[in-house]
Amino acid sequence: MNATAEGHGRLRLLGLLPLMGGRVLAGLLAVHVLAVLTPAATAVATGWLLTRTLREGTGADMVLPLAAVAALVLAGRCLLLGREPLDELAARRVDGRLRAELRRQVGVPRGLSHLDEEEYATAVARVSELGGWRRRTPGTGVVGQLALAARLTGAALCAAVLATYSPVLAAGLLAVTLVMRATIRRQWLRLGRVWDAHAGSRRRMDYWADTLSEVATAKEVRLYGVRHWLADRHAEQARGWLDEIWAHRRGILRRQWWTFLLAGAAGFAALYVPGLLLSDAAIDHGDLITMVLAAWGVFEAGAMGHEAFDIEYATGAMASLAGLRARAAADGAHPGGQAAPGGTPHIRFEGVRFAYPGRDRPVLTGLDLDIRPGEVLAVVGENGAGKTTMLKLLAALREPTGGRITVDGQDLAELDVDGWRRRISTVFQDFLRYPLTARQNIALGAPEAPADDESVLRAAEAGGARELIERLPLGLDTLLTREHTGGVDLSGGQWQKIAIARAMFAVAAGRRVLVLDEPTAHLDVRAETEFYDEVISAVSGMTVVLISHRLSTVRRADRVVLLSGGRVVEEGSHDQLMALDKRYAYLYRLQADRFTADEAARVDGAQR
Amino acid sequence: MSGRPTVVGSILRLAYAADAKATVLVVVLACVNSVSVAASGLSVRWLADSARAAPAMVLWAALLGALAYAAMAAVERVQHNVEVDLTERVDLVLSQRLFRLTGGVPTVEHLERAEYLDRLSQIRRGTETLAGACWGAVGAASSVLSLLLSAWLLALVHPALVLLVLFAIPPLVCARRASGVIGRARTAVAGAERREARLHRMATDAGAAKELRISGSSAAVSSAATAFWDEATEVLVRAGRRAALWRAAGWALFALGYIGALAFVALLVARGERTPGDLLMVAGLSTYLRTQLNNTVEGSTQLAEGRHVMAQFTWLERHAADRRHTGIDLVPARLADGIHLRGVSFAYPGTDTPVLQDVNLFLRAGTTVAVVGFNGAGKTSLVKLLTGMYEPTSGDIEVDGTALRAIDLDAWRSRTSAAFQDFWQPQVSAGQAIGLGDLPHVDDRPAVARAAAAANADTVVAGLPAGFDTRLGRVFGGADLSHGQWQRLATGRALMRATPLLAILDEPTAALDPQSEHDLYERFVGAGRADRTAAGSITLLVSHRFSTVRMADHIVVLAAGSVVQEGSHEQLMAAGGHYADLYRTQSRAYTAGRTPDE
Repeated sequence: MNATAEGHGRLRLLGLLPLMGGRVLAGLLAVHVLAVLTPAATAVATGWLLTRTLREGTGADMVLPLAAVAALVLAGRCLLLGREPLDELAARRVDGRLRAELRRQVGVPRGLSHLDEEEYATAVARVSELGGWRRRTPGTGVVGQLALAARLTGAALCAAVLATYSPVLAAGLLAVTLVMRATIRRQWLRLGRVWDAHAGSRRRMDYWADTLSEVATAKEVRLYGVRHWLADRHAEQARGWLDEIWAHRRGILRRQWWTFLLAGAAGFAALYVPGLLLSDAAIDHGDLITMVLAAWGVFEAGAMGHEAFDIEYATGAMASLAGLRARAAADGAHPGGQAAPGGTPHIRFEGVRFAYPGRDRPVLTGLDLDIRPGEVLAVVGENGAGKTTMLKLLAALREPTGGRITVDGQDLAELDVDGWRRRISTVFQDFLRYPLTARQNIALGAPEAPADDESVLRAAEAGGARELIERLPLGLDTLLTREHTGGVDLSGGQWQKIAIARAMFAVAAGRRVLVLDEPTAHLDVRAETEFYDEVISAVSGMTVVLISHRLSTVRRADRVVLLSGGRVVEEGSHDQLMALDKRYAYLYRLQADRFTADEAARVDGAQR
Repeated sequence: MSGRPTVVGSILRLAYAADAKATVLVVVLACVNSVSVAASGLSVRWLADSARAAPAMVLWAALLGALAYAAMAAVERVQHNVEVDLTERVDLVLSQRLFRLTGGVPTVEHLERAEYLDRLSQIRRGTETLAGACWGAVGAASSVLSLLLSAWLLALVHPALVLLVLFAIPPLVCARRASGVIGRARTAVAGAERREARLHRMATDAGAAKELRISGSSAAVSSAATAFWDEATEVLVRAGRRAALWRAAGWALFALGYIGALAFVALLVARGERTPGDLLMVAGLSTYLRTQLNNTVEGSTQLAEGRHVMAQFTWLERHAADRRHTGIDLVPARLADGIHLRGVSFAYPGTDTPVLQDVNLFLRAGTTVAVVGFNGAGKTSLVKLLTGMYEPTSGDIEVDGTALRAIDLDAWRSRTSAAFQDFWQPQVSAGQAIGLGDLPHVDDRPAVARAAAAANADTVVAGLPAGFDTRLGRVFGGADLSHGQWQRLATGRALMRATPLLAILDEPTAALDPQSEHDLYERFVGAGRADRTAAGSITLLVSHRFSTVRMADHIVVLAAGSVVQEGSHEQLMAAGGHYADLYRTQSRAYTAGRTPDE
């Protein structure tokens, strides 16, 4: 980081000031202005007290200076104490806003490919970091920036007081102190850069730590007895970058000796000059104490308090955020802006090719597929055949690397992507389990619609989750996670019903394309059987794309396509495909025969 | 490391173990610091008194002051940074201890209950505080020493000035109250902070992004996160204000004493009983005195925070000890009889809704047992009990006649394998993702390849850029797999152990394609299980796929936590009822309305 970039970093931090809110900022500034005055004022008042005392004054002469010193001592400390909650409020406000902005930034690029990039993900992690017990965030950085400005101003005021006695001493002490500060800062800045460079390492360290302490992984960690293996990975990852930090820091400390010499020299001048002035009777004892206290006030500028580190830390986080913003701005310039046509759309995949970034093997290799308005289209194929990828392309979460997708004849790439997505509802295999209430879990399928009891319950009913919700302790307002107080946990199948209800809510809100990716994987037999009649058949006039390995469900679709090697290899109604007697028919029999073979087995069993 | 008074001692020991020289350096510097404050005060007095009387001494007074100042500067810079360095080292040791401890609790309750998770999140964020707590103590001790030296200097001016030390007590007492206020607030917001972190992570996570974008719920998730953040802010800031008031009160009392001392000395000087140097020293010392006192206060606050974390740590250790599986009995090499569940009931701790009620079951050695039931019937809970993730609320599980409680749990688990429906997606190499199923063979390529082939995961691996050596998952910039592909690896993991006594398949094919599903079931339930049967292994299958369930030797129907039917497929079909209904329903979905040409 060169001087300009560094200046930019500082400027960026000051740009955050408005985020803390006008009143907080005004309060903080007021406290700082008052606090800035106290060291210099204390030096003057103490000198005044001594001068009065030595002028053979009576007790009455000393009352005023004493009161001044008392007030300053108390005020100085109280301002410092009063600043703490104000600092915290300011920092947390800034951080709250920035975290919200980060969440928004992540969603700005049109697709999702940016989230796969390690650099991007690391930057997100870097901005999200909160530090340990002592928070180190952009918020504490901007608060620290104010504190630093106050520290330097306070020192300058002390130098001004000193200058009334000896301008040379004042200028000299201030210069030495500032040079020391700048040098030390530059040394630590380099450490800060090493720290920043390892944001990815910290993210990985956290990954191992999470694996060891999260319930999602707990069962297998225990069953397979791998905790020490995982903890070793954590240690390995930690040592990998901490060793570098430690070596660097030790190096800096070893290079500190000359700053002590400089400090000693400055300390000597600060005492020797006033001493000489006093012995020459140029000043009195009161002036001496003022000079000494003012000099110590100047030295404060050289102290590297927490704020210096907070600032460096925050500058790094803000640089990461700037990178994310730039990325969003670049991606945000995509041409798509046309409103998606209304009604139930006609979607076509035309020779669509797709490969994930960094993977040689394409997932889709020329996919031609017509999804007609209002039809129920089933998609089958083996794991990794590209079914879920196809969904992602359909929702413009990914862009084809070749070919195109059209909606009512318009290229999807040219459509307003948000508008298009608001017409789709999906149930993914790994659907979200929001750590929120049952109501929110259902209504977030279409946040544009009101989440009143009636519509949410109707969606729950349609998704087969009504009974389940009625048994919850607080009904719709039950928190669906045991990880938080008052929450309950659902089984895999129960969650799946909630996810289906979520899609039904979106359908009721007017979304016209329903995409279901293995929606019945965890459902019990009754729910699975009812699924087609109660969910799919019930949504009339909608386009339904159903991805499933459950061919008993698939067979009822209007049309079935079999994907293999990234393209459609078989297409037609169930009956047509059975008549074709190829891969689909084989797979169907594979499942169905396990039942029909039963008749034979039953005879066997009876004989056994 | 238990008990309150040992925080400093145990952390110092850890620091000493991490770096002995650095630890000694910190302690030495702390002592130097105490002495230099007093020296600095002395130099000012000397300077003031000798300037007029003996000007030659000004040089020496200034030199003493310079030395003191340089020492203080050195201490500030070096001591602080060495402390940070040692804190990071100890933090790593403590984190490691925490993770091994958390992962070592045999049950999983502490990872699922809100009140425990609040504590865990505080410990996790607090290891650094705990690691730094001893420096707070060292700093406080050094400041106290320096306060005493200052008091001695003051006593030289006038014995009554020693009383000033008494005024140092209110700030300390008030600081203690203040850190209590802050500590309670931090505990109170732990839940809100965890929820904010969860939602923030969800909103910025690559995995969740696809659904968030399509539904358009990002904004709602984000504002929910903001609400929790603001909630925590409000509580913390309110507590911060109260704490500041306490501290200010303490300091006001000290300021009173200090001003009294200053007035007293000023009076003595005015009367000519003391020199101006004395007043200068008192005034000069005061600046450092306040800093020292502040350091003491901060040090003791830091120590209090460390104790707070330590208390949580101690809780975790106690919890781990309570939950420690005390069984020591050997696991049989092969099952002769089987596993009995006798009157097993279970409710998740902290709830009073029973998930399982008075379940009596016999899983015969060498057989395949299928468990079916509606969603939420208690199937997965049953699996958790059999693997020791939870202990039954009442009743017993017996393995060949020995209670599971009495058996060495680690040994039992090492003879168990499981494919869970919410399987783990470890971001390691593809080979390790499978090999972790049998840790001693994690990098045993032939064994891993065998398990991969058995789970139909070999085709997944073959499609990866570097085969078994391909790194998986986003955190490490590795390859991303589809849900079904992950499930195949998870199945491979479950197949690593050669002769498990209990193999659990909990909806193992939910995301598998028909061919993989077919192959897997053939392997476990069909002909492929011959070798397992020989070892007396039990395969427990939890599934909604009745075509497979029917092939099991014994089928158990669970409803609302109780066994409502059991028997072989034939028996249950003949008996009618739940099972037969469900079976026919699913069968009909395949067979009804079939075209004649089939």
